[in-house]
Amino acid sequence: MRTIIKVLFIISLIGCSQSSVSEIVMFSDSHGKYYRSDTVGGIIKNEYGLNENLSLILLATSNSDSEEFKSQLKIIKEIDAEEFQYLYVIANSDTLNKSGYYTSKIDAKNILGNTKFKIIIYDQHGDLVQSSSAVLEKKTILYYLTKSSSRHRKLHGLAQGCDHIRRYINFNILIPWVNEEIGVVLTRVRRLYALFFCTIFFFNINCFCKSNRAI
Amino acid sequence: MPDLLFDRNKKTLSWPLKKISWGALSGPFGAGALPPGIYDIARREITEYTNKVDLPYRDKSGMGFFVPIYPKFTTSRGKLGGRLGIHPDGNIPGTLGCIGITDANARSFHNAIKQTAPSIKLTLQVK
Repeated sequence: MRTIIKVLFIISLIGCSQSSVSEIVMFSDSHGKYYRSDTVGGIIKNEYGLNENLSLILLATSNSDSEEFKSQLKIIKEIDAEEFQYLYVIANSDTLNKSGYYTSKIDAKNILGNTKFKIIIYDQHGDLVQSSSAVLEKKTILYYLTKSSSRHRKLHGLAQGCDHIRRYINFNILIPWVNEEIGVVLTRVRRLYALFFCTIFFFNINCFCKSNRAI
Repeated sequence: MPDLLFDRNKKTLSWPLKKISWGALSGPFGAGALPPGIYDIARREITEYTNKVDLPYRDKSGMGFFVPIYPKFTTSRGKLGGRLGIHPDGNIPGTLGCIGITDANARSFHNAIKQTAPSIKLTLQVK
């Protein structure tokens, strides 16, 4: 019983990771070429002879005059795209913007869902790193852009799934008040918190299994 | 007819009248390659061929330049996040939307522009 629950837990972790990978967006560039968000990094890498795949920042809006969209775009343009090797895609459900990378209006509507604004960050391998319907600060975007590049040096599969959960725990459960400005020291503290949390979590599963077996 | 022609697919920048051609690219970073259309080349605003320009604007000889260009059509490009222009493609291959000359020595392009009288209006077609 205990083994079965552990296997189910591991499968659910992998499932969490895979579900984010499968969120593929189609878009085009000003050449008229079509790309999938999960393959664009590799295609452009080959086309331009780059050393690394590109990250992707997708900005979705229903109104490009909205303050949220304009302020997010301004923040993104302050981040050197050449240095951090990313491209950004505009998804506007109201009008098409053919001056750069863009999606169709229908795709933009699907991306937005019930929200009016969304920013999505994919890493170099097309995996979802962050999705937010609130404007992200420059430091937060930089964190996700640099975090995603180091993430793939780690093990794939389970490790990737754990990373999603660890990040979720770090940011949303354990210490949601943490500000990026505090830096590396706090990142280490958050890791310790996450490790502690996971240990307690597995301990609870073990206890649960043992109690089931006794019954 | 435009004086210079930039072909994004062939990755070439040419001056048909002078029968000169350079390897060049635009994008893919940021919002990607320059949108197609006609651009004015700001002949009077060009920098010298110098090592004083930033690293991304220098060729392999360590020297570089910046030749500003202005779109003759409505676009948000170049209004936010830096001017559009032609320069040697330094550091990481690719640009943020400018045209980057990939030839090891981009001096011949600078010379060709500089030898043109400032009063002459030069145009560029991107296709």
